[in-house]
Amino acid sequence: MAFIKLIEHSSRRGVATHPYPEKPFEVDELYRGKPVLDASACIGCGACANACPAETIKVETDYGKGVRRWTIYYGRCIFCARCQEVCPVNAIELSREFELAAKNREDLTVVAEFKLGSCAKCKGYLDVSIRHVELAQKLLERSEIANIMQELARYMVMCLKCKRSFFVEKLGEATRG
Amino acid sequence: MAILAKMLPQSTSVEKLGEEVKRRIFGTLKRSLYVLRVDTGSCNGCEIEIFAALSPLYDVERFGIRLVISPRHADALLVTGPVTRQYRAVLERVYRMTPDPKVVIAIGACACGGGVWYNSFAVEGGIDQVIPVDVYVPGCPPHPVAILQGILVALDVLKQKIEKVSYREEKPEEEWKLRPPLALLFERETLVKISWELYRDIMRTARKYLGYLYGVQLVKDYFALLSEVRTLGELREASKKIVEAWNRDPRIAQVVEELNKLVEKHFAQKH
Repeated sequence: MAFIKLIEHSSRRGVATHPYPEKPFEVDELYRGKPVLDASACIGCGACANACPAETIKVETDYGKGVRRWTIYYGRCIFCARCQEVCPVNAIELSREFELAAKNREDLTVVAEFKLGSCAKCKGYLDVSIRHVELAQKLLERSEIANIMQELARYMVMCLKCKRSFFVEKLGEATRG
Repeated sequence: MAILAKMLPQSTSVEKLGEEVKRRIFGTLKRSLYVLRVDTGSCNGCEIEIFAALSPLYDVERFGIRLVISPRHADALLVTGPVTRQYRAVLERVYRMTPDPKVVIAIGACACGGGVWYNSFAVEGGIDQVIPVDVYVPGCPPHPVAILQGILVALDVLKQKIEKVSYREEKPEEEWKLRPPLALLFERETLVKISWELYRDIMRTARKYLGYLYGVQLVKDYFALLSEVRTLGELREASKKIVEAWNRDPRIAQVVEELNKLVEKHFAQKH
């Protein structure tokens, strides 16, 4: 008759199983789920791509199309929140979404493209996005050393080649003078 | 019998949507699904979660999903791990031994794309490099409920929730919107003009003590406070409100004190 006791005990404890597909499952408030990019805030700087241990976030410059392309493949993500930690504009945050099963590899990707700025000297593409330059200029205006940096602000909107030639010219002037 | 009736799940409390899902589950699943778990060099984190999914808390067995130990008995393969070179041949053989029709479910970051070892010389980098995959379940490790969802998605019982997102910038000047706390730097007039250096110092101090998550939250609260107050004395008074809002945590009080000192130091330099 021991099983009667067991039945009694179970009835007192109730059902422990979560009725998952019928009811949504609530994870903890601090659960680290799918990282979500707020594309309207992102500047495409690539800090997240640098920090990502699984290298699932990639940021690359496409000079042909003139865009900076941000991509993530959730399949390889380990949900460590390092991208959220390093983002200078807080554009990427880990949500509580965890039901990420997908039938297609493509469904697990996010692609965001940001336009490249144009070089002030050669009118070609800059190596960073327009937003990145804008943010740097905005922050520089707010900085305490803004007056010292005014000279160098021109330097900011140049592509790598023009920066090099600009620097060599300045160096030549300095040594001659 | 009354006791037994109490033990059964109460259908009255289950919502209408739940009823429909339930009907779909038991309408689609005509018979039990036998699952073979294949470990291709995983760290056993995913295995722990698979066994958690079998435990009474999540209980995949109520859908008739059972683990078996031979590929010849299996209908579905739950594959974990990044496929080490040693395991490649074994995985191929297990796949051939499983009778058709079969379902392959990749569990975890390693199985979905190699995980943190994706470019190592010792691994193939994901199950789909070796055998065709039906469903990917990302996570490191995935939540037991996510595994359950993955299996049900593979059986066409549930719909997948995620889909490809692509964003293309058209008008850079209009579309760009800064988010707080950086947005607060440019939006509001504050007691002291928050320079980039002060913002940086506040951010660093808060994150040094509280970490990336709570640190940024506290900085948001603190900036909202800065735009309200008029004098330094008011700031001291009002900063007690933040501590109050954070459950009077003495650690928060200490960090807020540090932030106040930073602002005062900055104020003294200006005047």
